[in-house]
Amino acid sequence: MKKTILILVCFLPVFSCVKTDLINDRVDPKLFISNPLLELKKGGTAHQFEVNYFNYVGKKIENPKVSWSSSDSSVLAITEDGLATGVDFGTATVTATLTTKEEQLTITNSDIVKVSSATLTESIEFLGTIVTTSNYELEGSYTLKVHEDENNVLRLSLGEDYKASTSLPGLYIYLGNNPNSVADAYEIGPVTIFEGAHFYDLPSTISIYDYSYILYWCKPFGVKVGEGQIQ
Amino acid sequence: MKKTILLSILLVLSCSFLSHAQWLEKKGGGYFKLSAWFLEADQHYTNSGKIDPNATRGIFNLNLYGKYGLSDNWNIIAYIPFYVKSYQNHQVSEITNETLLEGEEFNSFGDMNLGIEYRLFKTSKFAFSTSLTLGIPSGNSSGGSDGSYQTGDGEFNQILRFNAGTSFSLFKHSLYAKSHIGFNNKTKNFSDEVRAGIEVGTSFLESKLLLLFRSNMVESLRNGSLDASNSNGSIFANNVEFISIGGEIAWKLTKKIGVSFGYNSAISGKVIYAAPSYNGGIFYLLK
Repeated sequence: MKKTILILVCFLPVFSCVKTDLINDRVDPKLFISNPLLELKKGGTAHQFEVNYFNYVGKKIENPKVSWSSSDSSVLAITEDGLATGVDFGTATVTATLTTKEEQLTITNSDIVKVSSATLTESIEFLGTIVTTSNYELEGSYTLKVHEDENNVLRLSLGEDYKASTSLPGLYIYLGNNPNSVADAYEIGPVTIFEGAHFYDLPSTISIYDYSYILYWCKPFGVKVGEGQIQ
Repeated sequence: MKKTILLSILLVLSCSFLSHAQWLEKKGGGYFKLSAWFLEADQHYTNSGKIDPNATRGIFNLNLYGKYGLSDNWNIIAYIPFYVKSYQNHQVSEITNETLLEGEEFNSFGDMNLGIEYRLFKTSKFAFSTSLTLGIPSGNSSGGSDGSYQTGDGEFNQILRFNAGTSFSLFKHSLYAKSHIGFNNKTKNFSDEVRAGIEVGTSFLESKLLLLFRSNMVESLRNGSLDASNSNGSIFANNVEFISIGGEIAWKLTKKIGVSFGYNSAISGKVIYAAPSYNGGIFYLLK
């Protein structure tokens, strides 16, 4: 009898240990030109192109080894380090190319630039849709935009058609580069509005090109509920 | 979601333990059980009844259940989970082996149930009783680093039940059947619930081996106002529903002492783990 009790007592706690869940968080690496141009002034100040590179798990890699090229060097000349100069009137495509260290994948990103009489940066806004990736209701349109008339604040706005299940507590919103993990994502905060238009102003340290996903995450359970791709 | 599901676990648990309640103990008699209960799940039923994944979470408890006959008509019942462990696994990248989310565990005392049962009447084949159980919020409703490792729901509820039992023969073998229906009055803006259950059991080998099957259900009345929009982003439990099936096998080692092992699982539900639970214990019959 005593032996039975002893075996039972020793055996049961074995079940209740903190163990490990393995997560497949691989994503396709991505490369973005983070300061694209619409127009570059002929003979004007040179423009230093820069990139954001996110590796095979969506982690941002600083100072990636990128090669730069111009589709027409008689219109736009560019150095190996991405310094571009307007040579003559016309249009050229600037391409950044990177071969990933880990998987030897070649990825590119391009910017079509018109060489003209003035330099114009692109006023970018991303429009997209939030979709549920679970069995909880979550949907709506979004806009990610730099509001130049409001001190260049970067604002994520959810549309009137936004709706999220109120049966889903612990819901948080993130910006990230890996839809399978929020380990390197920026946590905007807990979701407190579940229907209708609203917005989040993001800190000035975040660029519109820094993230490629809006993620809705059940934080306590570490599981994605929905996402919107920023493209 | 986390607390919702935790509470649903505790709810299944209480259904399981309180199902001993239909047969009243005689005056001075009693049934006492020391048990361990365990559930681990990596998926759950959503609010629409479909199944979604989650990081693996588990709950383990050690508890004492006791039922004692104050008289032939009045019994007192107590369920005391004196050790409850709630935990979540580490989340590790299988690509880089980096830890994406640290696991965690939290231990404390759990929510107790204290009750009293009264025999309404008894015939040669049927027995009817009613019971009132008080859900004491003695556990921790905000355990762990983010408050999600609860060992209790933080609310005081009262369950009024009517119980019926009968014995019968099938192929010259004696069996018993029990059923109950009850109302769970919940506080703090939680929805009230209707609970019901059935149990069929029999014994073998000169009553040394007891085998039983049971099914329980909980239906929310959806009259509570608590939801994610008014809980300030905190985690809560409301409108939990399920139908579960399970069984238990008990072996009497002596006339007074025995061991038992049980299994329960929700076959459908809303906001409840989609995984079975297991329990094992040692019981003592006071005669």
